[in-house]
Amino acid sequence: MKLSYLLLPLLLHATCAWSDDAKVNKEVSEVKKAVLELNQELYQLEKDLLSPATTQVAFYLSLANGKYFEPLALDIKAGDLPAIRHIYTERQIQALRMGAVQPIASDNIGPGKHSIEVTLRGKDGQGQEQTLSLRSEVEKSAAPLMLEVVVRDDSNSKQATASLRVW
Amino acid sequence: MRIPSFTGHAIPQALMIAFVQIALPLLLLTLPTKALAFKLGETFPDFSIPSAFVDYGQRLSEQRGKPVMLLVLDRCDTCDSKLHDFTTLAQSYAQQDLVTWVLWSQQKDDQPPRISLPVLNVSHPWQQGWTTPSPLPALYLINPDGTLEQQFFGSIRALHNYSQSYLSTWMQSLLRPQGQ
Repeated sequence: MKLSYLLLPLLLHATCAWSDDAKVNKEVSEVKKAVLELNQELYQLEKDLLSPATTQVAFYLSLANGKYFEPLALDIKAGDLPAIRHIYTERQIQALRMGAVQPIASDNIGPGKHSIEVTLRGKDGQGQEQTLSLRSEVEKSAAPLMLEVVVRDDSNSKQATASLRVW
Repeated sequence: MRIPSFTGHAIPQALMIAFVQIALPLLLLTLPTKALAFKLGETFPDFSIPSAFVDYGQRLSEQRGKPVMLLVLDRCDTCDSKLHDFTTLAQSYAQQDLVTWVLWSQQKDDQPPRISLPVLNVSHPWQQGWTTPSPLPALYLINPDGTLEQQFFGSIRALHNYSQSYLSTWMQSLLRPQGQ
């Protein structure tokens, strides 16, 4: 009986301590959440400052079928921007064949007309080396510029063609 | 005029000048300018390198979860025969998910080795993230988590021998469940 009198305050103390701990843990997780949200906002702010819509340009690539051409390497020259290059792996080609649109790069470019040169090195349906090239002129307005390099099979000529699509 | 040396013998001035003006710069030139070494246990830098043939490129980070063996060649012009034993060794571990790539650098009109392993052209201007280490040839074993397990330097024959003995233990340790 005496033992229970001794244990009771201890038990009560432990319960209080546990409830305090739970409260502190909850507060800590709330603070963590707030910090994460703030970080996200700061990241967005930084992104908007560094790459505002007026100068934003993004490049994408898609492959329709890929029966007559599989890209192995890509080179894009756009205005004064440093060359954008990409090496394709088997896994990436598989994803493109399944309909994926690949974000290649995003950068900043001034408003006005810009010359875009795309060179795609790859292999044709027989596994022979083939190069697809395209040159186009695009105009950058105040809105973000999204450019998609579309590689499409032409069943009539049994060859693939590359074209540039402006979103 | 004769310059006294540490040994007490006099060194002719002309000899000293010749050493400083000719031999010393030559000696400095022969030193490796970029002795790059990767550290064991650290994440191996990611790279993306095109094939030396009309084939897919390879990216190291895509192989996470698998052990990777990289053989970096020194000058090699159709050195297929030199790589025969190494290719056989790599193929014997391919069933245990070991990924093996041969990294080749084109010099002059050299042709890449035609072997059954993927041969990547590190001298291609479009490669990304790769810096050829020194000395060469070199062999790198990369853990499934992307960290460098071991590195060897020496001739192709020596690398084959090193890797042969190391691979059996390493691959067994990877097959074993963790904590055993």
